[in-house]
Amino acid sequence: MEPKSTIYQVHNRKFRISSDWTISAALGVLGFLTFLPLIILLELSLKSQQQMADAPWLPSYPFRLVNYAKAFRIMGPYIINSVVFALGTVTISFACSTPTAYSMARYSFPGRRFFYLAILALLMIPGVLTLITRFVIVVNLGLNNTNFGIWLPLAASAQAFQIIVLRTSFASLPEELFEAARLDGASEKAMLLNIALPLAKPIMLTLILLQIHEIWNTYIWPIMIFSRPERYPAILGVLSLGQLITERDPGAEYAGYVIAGLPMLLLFSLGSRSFIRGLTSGAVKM
Amino acid sequence: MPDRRWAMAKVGSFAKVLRRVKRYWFCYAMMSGTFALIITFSYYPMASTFYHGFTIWDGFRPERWVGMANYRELFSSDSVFYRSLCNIAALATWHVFRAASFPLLGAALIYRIRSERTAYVFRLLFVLPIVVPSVVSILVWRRLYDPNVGLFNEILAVVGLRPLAWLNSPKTALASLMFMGFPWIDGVGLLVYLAGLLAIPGEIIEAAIVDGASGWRRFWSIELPLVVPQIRLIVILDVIWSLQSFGWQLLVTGGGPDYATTVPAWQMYQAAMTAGRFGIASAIGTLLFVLIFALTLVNNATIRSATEYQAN
Amino acid sequence: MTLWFWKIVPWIREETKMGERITRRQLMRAGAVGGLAALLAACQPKVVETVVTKVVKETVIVEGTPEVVEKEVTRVVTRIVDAPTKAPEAKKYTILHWGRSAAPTDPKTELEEGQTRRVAYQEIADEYMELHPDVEIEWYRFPAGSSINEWLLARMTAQDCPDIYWADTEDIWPHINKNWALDITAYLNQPNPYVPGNERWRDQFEDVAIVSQTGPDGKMYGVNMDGAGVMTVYNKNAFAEAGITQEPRTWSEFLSVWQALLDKGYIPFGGDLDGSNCCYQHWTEAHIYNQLVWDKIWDWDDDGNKVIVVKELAQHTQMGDALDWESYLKMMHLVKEWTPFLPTGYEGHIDYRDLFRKGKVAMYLEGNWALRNFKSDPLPFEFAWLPFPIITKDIWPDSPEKVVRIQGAWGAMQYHIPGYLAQTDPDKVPVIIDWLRFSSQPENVTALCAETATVPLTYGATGVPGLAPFSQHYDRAVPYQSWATLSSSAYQAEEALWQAYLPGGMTDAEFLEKAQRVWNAEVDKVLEANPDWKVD
Repeated sequence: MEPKSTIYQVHNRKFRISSDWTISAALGVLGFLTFLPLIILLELSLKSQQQMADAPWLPSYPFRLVNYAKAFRIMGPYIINSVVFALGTVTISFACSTPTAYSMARYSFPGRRFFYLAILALLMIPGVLTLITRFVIVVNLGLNNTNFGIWLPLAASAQAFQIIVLRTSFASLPEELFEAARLDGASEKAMLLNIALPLAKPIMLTLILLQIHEIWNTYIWPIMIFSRPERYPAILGVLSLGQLITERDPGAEYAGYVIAGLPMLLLFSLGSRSFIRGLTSGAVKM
Repeated sequence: MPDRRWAMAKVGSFAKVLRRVKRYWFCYAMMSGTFALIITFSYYPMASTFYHGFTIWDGFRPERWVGMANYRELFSSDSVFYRSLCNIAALATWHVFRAASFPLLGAALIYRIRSERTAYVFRLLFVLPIVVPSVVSILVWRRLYDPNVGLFNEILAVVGLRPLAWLNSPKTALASLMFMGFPWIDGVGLLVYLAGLLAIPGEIIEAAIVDGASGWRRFWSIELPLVVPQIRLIVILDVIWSLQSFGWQLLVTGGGPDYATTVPAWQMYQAAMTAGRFGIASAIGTLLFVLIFALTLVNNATIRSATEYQAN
Repeated sequence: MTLWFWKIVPWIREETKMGERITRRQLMRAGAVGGLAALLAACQPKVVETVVTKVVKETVIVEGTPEVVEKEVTRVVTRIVDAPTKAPEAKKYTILHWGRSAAPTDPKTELEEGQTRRVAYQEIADEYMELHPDVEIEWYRFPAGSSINEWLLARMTAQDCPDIYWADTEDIWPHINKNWALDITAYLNQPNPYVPGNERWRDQFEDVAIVSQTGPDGKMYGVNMDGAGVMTVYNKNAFAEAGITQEPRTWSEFLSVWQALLDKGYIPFGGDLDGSNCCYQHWTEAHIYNQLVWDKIWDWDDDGNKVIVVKELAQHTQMGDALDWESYLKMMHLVKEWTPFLPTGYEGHIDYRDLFRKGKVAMYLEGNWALRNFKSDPLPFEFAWLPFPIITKDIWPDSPEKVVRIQGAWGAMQYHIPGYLAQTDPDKVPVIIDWLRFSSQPENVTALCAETATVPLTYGATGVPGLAPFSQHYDRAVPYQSWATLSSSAYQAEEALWQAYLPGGMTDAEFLEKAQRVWNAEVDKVLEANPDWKVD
C-alpha cells in the first residue's frame, strides 16, 4: 500500500497549499528542540573537568577525545552483556508470541476470546506490582545470576503488546492465500512459516527494534538479578564508569552514555526503513 | 419431554465443543509457550501480590494476616496516598494530552510536506533521539534545572529575574517535572500517527482541496477523526505507562520535596524496597491495577472512531 | 588471521561486482564486522604486570604527644596484574568482602594525575593469604547506581550476598529482624590469636564501637573497627575575603559570619534537605536538639549505654515522654533562621560539595572521611574545621552552652556477616571471623585508616595527622541523631515535614500537630515489626 506518492503528487501537482518553507521552519525548530538533549550529551562528553567548570553549557575546545578512549575500554564487556540480553529475550519472546498471535488471528477455537482478554489484561498489570514476587519466583527457580533470569521475565512482559499487534497484522492477511495453500495440501505449520511470517516481516522488525530498545534501557531488573556488577548491561556499566574513573571526570561518564547508545543508533539507522514501514503499515492501532 | 431434550441438547453442544477442541488442538499447543511464561511471571506474581495486600510481610519472616488494615492505612486522613493520587491524576492527564497532541502535530506537519526527501529527513530527525537512553535525557534535564548552576536559572539571571528552585521547591517541582522532555514529540508516536494519516485514501483529501478547505479545516474534519484508532492505542498505552512509571522519582526527585512529586508507583517501590513493608506495597499495587483497569475501560468507551460515528 | 581477511572482504564486497555504488547491505555487513572487531579488541585483557615501589615519607602521630614524626617506608604504589603467570592453586574458601571505602582501588581504575591508589587492604589480604594458602580474599565492587537497602534486599532474598558486607549502625535492628546479620557475640568473646595478650576480641574496640553493633537484645551482630566525626569545614580564602578574622563559636557569631559571607557574594552554608545527600538535616538535628535537651536525654537511656536506640524511643513514646516537642519546635525556629544562608533550592537536592570545591559555598558540614578526598584531589584553597555553633543561654535559657560533636561509630569498617550463612555454609563462618580478626590488628587498622581518613576505634591504632581538629576537645558525643534512629521511613517523613515547614508553608501550631501525628504513626510501624516492645 503506497498512497504516499499519491498524496505528495496531489499536493504537488496543481493545488495551492501552504508553502513547504513555513512547515519546514516549524518542524525544524521542533526537531532541533527534540534533538537538543542529544546535542548537549555529545558536547558534554567531550569536556574535561575543568572545561565543564568553566563553561558548562557551550561547547569548548579542544575536544577531549580521550574521554571516549577511557569509556570504550571499560564499556566493552557491558555492551556484550546487553547484546546477550537482547538476543536471548527477543528470540524467546517471539518464539512464544508469534504462534500465539497467529492462532488467535486465523482460527476460531473455543475459548479464543477468553484467552485474548486474558492477554489484554496483562497490559494493565503495573510492572512494579510484580517486581518483588517475580524476584522471589526467579530465586526459587534458581534463575538468579543466570541469563535466563533476564530472558524469561522480560519475554513474559513483552508478550501482551506483541501478541496484540501481531494478531491485528495476521488477521489482515487475505484469506485466499491460505485457502490456496490449504488446497495445495500445506500443513498449518508450513502456512505459518512460509506465508504468514514473510508477509508480517515489516511489523515484526518494528516490534523487534522496539523490544531491543526497551531491553537496552532496562536497569532495575538486572540490578536485582545479578549480584556481580560484571554481568550488568551497558546502561548500568555507564554508572560504574563514574565509579571507576572517579568523580572528577564526568565527561567520560557522558562519553560512556554515548557509547552505550551507539549500538542502538546503528540498529535504528540500518533498520529505519523497515521500522518506519512496519509502523506505517497500519497494523498498529486499536 | 422438554427436560430430556434440553439435557440432550446441552450434552450435544458440549460434545460439539469438544470436537472443535480436538480439531484445533494445535492452537492450544501454539499458545502454550506464551501462557507458560505469563502464568509463571505475570499471573502468579499478581495473585501473590493481591494476597499479600491483606498481610503484613517483610519478605523474610512469615506474613501475618491483617485483613483490610493496609487499605485503611492508605486511606487514613494523614496518609500521603491522597497526595500521590492527586499528583498521578495531574501527571497522567498531562501525559495523555501531550502524547495525543504533540506527536500528532508533528505528524500532520510532516504529512503536508511536498518533498518526499525532506519528509524523510524530518522523520529521521524525530526518530533518532530514541536511541538516547532515557536515563540520559533525565540527567541532562536535571542539570538544566539545577538551581545554582543550571541553564534555566542562568538565563533568568541574565534577564534580571530571581532564580527559581524548579525541581527543588514543593511549589514548582511537579510543574517542572511535567515540563521535562519539551517538545514532547516522541518518535514512535509520530510514526504511528503518520501511518494513520497516510492510510487516508487520497480521494478524500483531493475532494476537500477542490472544495477549497484550508489546511486547518482538513485537519479537524478529515484527518483527526480518521486517526482516532491510532490515538486510542497511544492513549491507552500511555495511560498504562504513566500510571506505573517511577523512573523520574528514582533518579531525580525521590518523591519530590514534601511529597510534591510522589506517585503511587513510587510509594509502592519505596514501601517495598526501603521500608521493607511488602504488605502495604502490595495493597498499593492492587489499587493501581484497579485504577488502570478502570481507566482503560473508560478510554475504550468514550473515544469512538469516526467510522463508528458514520455508521450511526 | 589473513585467511579470515580474504574470506570476509569478498563477503562484504559481494554486491559490487560491476562497480555499482555501495549498497546498504554492504554497509551493514561492514559495520557488523567492524563493530565485532572493535568489541573484541576492547575485550582483550591487558597482559601487563607492573609493580612500582616508591620510598615514601609517612607522617605518623606519636600517641600521647602532639608530635608528628616522619618515617621512611617502602610502599608498593601501583600494581596492575592482568595475566597471571601461573595457574592459581585450588582454594578451599573464597571470602567475598565488600570493604566499602576501605577496599583497595579497583586495578581497572584509571586515575588522573596526582591521585593515589588505595593499596593497604590488598597488602593485608596478601599477607593473610600467604599465612592461609587455602583462603582467597576477593573484593566485591558495589554496583554503582544501586542504593544499599535495595541491593541488600535483593541479595538477601537470593542468598548471594558478599560474605562480609557493610551496614550503618542505624540499620542494625531492622536487619537483624530479618536475619540479615549473623550473631557473632560468641566469637567476640573469644581471644584474637593475632593480637598478643588479647583475652577477648571485643576488648580491642572502644565502647562506642561495641555499642554500635549491639542490638536491643544485647547480642552483637558485627564488628566496627573505625568511626567518624563530623565538623564544619570552611574555605579560609572566603573568610579572609569577607573580612572574618576570628573563628565563630556561638550561634549569633555564626549568624553574623554568614551575613558577612552573603554580602560578599558567597553562599554562606552548603546544605539541603535531601536525605540521600548525606547528611545536613540529620546532622543539624543531632547537633541542635542534643544541646536543647541536654540533661533530659538521659531519661530515655534505659540501658545506660550513652546512646539512644530505637527500642528506647519506641517505648518512651508510648510512655509519653518522647519526643520533647518544645525543644523540637525551638530547633525548627533556629534552622529557619539559618535557611536564608543556604543555597537556592535547598528543599531539594543540591550538589553543595561540588559548589564548595568551586569556591561558591563557603562552608558545610562534613565527616572526617572527606579528608581522603581532599588529599587525593586537593582543594584549590586552604581549609580548616570548626565545631558546631554553641546555643547560648540568651537563645535557650536551659542551654548548657557546651560543645557537642557527632563522633562515633559510622566508619568505613562496620562489617557484618549474612545471617543465612549459619544454615547454608556454617563451616565458612569461622574462616571469615579469622580474616576479620586478622584485619583488626592495630597496625592494620592504622594502615587502613591512613587511607580512609576515619577515626580508629581500635585500641593501639592511630589516625592521620589531618584528623587533629577532630581530637579537639568537645563535651559530649551526641546520643541522639534524628528520626532516622527510628526507621528509614521515619527519616523520610521527617524530611518531608522540614520541606513543608521551613520555606514558610506552615504555622507553628500546624507543624507541631502534624509532627506529633507523623511521629506516632512511625512508632506504630516500628511496633508492628517488634510487637514485644509494646508497653502496657
